[in-house]
Amino acid sequence: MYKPRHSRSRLIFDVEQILLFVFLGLFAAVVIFPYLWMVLTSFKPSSEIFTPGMQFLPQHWQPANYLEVVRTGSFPRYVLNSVIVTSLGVALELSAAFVGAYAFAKLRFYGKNLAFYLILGTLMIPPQVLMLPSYLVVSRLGWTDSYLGLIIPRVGAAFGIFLLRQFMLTIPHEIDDAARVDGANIFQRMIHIYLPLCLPSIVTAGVFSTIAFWNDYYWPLVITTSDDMRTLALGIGHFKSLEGMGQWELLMAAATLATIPMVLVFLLARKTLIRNLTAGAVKG
Amino acid sequence: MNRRGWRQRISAARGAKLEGPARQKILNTLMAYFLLSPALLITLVFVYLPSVYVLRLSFYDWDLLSPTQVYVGINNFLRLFSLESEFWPSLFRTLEYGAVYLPLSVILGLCLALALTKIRILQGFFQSLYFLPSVTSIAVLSVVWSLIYNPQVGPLNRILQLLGVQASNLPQWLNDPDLAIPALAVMGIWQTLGFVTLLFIAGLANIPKVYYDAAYVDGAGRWSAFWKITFPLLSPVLYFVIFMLLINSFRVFGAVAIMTRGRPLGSTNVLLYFVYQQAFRFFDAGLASAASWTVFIIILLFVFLQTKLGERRVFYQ
Repeated sequence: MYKPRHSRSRLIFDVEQILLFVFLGLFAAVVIFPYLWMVLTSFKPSSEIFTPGMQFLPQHWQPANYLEVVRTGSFPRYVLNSVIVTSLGVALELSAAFVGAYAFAKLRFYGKNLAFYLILGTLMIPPQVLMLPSYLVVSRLGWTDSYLGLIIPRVGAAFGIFLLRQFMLTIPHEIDDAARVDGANIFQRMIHIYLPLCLPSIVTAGVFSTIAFWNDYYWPLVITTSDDMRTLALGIGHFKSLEGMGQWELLMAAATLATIPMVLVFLLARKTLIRNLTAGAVKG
Repeated sequence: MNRRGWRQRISAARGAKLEGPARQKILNTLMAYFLLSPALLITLVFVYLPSVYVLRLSFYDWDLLSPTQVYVGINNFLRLFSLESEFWPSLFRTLEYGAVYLPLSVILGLCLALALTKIRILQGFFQSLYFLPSVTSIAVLSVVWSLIYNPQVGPLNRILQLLGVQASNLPQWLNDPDLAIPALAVMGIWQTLGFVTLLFIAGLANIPKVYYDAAYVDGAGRWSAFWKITFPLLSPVLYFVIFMLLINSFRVFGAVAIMTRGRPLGSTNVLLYFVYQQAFRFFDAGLASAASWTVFIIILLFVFLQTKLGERRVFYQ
């Protein structure tokens, strides 16, 4: 960004660079500390959590905490629910977004602008504002406390449609026309031409969608009533009631297990994730 | 309609002699709405229908269970805005949260973005690391920060003790009515700062470098270059970030639901938690709906202001 007035000689001890590094490093420590504390606590025996004084590493590493979490209670069920809700939700969201994006990018039709703003407008409405009426709509459908209720209302294709449409607009019409002349119908063209070309954008949309479904807390809270239907994020919030009994190590083990999948997803996809997040907000 | 029907129609249209543009557009319209039907249907049923339904409910008295909804006019709004209503304190808590969350996020985010654009090593590493809280569930973050703020066993007070703070003087964080909201706001800053920084970095990258070269040739220092070039040219991004943070502070819910449940003494009863309690604890659908609409209008106002201010781009190019 800034270019210094005179190009600085390449000193090894560049004071400015060192100060910048210290500043950024300090904040990095602040970011990483809660994660570190979570993981370290998850390996501590219960007694060590209550010993006074600052003790960073566990004196006795106790991986059995994880076994206890996985074995006891409804944890496996929570994981199963999260996997079901996330995978089906992402699949539905991507399918809806892909076909919708095609319509917006490649077809001229009546009411296009209205339909576009109707769908994109949902990005501006925080879903939490509508928690009571959405709950009532879902309960009228008889979907409360079910996978249908957990998944369908949260399939928000808006972001995916936006992302995929942007990409499809860059695909030249000629490819489409050539396939049309060769006799491919619209579905064949979508599957054989657009799907492979859009794959990187679909993966990006899928990553966003996976993170959103896996991490969501508010909707499962509103829509589920039985323990059997809780997702992992909701279950962790519920686990916290164990805190009164002082089982912090189990809570942190559960929290660590819930975090790992999304950290992996993030590590694999961080470049595309970071690039696309700012694209909508700032023209780059 | 099944796929086969559509295929036939389209091939029929292609074979037909009347292949005028209007006819093509009608066929395209049918096809487009068929393709958009999943997205449109879900949007209409689960976003727009509830938005209208909540407006209707705000004029009725209903306990969510009884079969009858009694029309009460604007009574729910009168109750919501009356002096003894819990709405005003909860609005105040929300603004208090925003007052800590917003300025600190903007200042820290801008500093981090400037530092990240200048540093020559580990740039990508820092940027990715700062972003980690954005991909972690609010449920996980809330339980972890509950432990961090825990006055007895949490690391924060343990560190303070090491630094020589007397046990009786240790802050009670989330248990202290005066500290609970700032403590939640600090966690909020920590969570979203990576994204704020990212937006600022993208904004900074959009400023043409020649402006700085020209300014330095004219003898400007770094300080004046920041205030005369960077800051004004960053204003569209700045507006975007400020309104996003404002909306964020009206959306706080998960952290409160898990960490404090509105306690202590209602000091963390922010707007959305107030709505949640009215709806699902006290079954006062009318009041909850009136409050929902109020929050909704406030957020729409922010969105509107943001687009207006963003459009003007007073200083842009």
